[in-house]
Formats: sequence, C-alpha cells, structure tokens
Amino acid sequence: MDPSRDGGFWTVCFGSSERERRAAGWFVAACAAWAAVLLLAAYVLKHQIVVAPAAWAVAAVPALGAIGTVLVFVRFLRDLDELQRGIQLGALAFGFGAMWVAISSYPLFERVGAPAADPEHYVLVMMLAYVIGNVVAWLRYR
Amino acid sequence: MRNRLKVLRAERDWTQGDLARELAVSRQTVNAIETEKYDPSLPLAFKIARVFQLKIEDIFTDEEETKK
Repeated sequence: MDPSRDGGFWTVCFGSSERERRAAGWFVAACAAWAAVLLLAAYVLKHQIVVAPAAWAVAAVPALGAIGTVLVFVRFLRDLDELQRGIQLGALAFGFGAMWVAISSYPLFERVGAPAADPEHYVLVMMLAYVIGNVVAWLRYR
Repeated sequence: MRNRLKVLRAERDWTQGDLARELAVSRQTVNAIETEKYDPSLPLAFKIARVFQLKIEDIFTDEEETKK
C-alpha cells in the first residue's frame, strides 16, 4: 500500500485492496454509463426522435440502467471490509434521512414563501448528506 | 468493549498493516479496533483470536464485566 494514500479519504471510506478498487471501478463505470444513458434518453424524448411505442422503450432504458447501478453498488458494499461497509451504510442512512427531512418539511416552507424545490433538489440534498457522512467517518477513522 | 490488540501486536513486532493483511481488512479497521472506536463483528473477532492463537475472551473484555 502506498503510505502517502494510507489514511486518505478514498482509502478510509472505499478501501484500497485490489478487490475493493475493482468493485469501486465497476460502480463508477456503472454510474457513468447510467448517467450517459439517462442524458441520451432525455435528449431523444425531448426532441421526439422516436414516437410511441418505441418512446416507451427509450424511457424504460434509464430505469433498467438505474436498477443495474443499484445492483453494482450492493456488490461494491459486499466487497468492502466491515468497517468500510459500516461507513457506507451510515453515510447512506444519513443521506436518506436528510432527504426524508427535506421532503417532509420543505413543502411547508414553500407555503410561506420559500422558493419552490424540484425533485432534483431533494436528490442533491441526499447526495450532499451522503458525502458529509463519508467525510465525518473519514475524520473519525483516518 | 476493551481489547489487548495493540499489546499483542507489539509483542509480535507487527505493524497495523501486517495484522490487517493477516485479517484481510484495511489498516484503518485494525486502527479503529485498537483505539476502541469500533467493535469487530463476531467472525472478525474469531479471526483475530485465531491469528494470535488465543481465545476471544483473552483479547476482548466486556466493559460492563470489568466494572463489576
């Protein structure tokens, strides 16, 4: 193990063994592929390049990609060691918790004049909280 | 939970990295167990006991038990 990376954010939270690196690589690749398919499908549907029923199939492809990405993430979790798996599950729980708080609370603020939020904003809250969860774990275990 | 991991490791002149390799976990996991920030799972505790050729209770002690 390269000592300069030992204790680094990625090593602490996502591991550094060959197996962990491979699993993380698959996950990153799956995320990138899913994002590309999602953008492509959105472009195709927005510009009405295909019509129904083919448009339904185009709309379904990103959903299948998302399911595949979730399965790759589960595999990635299995390949981590138990502390790193705990860190990831804790960060995920924090992310989902933050999103649940935002979804259940923010509409009330909208009613009293706060700017309207789109679903993507709630997803951003979840992602941000997930990253914060990882950073907190890194500070604790580095 | 208290443990004697650091002492046992030092007796054998092993680094945290050496022990981590024996246990197939990250060095951070060994460090977190030694500093008692993290309690290992039962399978990992058995593995640690096997590596040191000791019983689990010779390495790990229940804090509640030691208070009595």
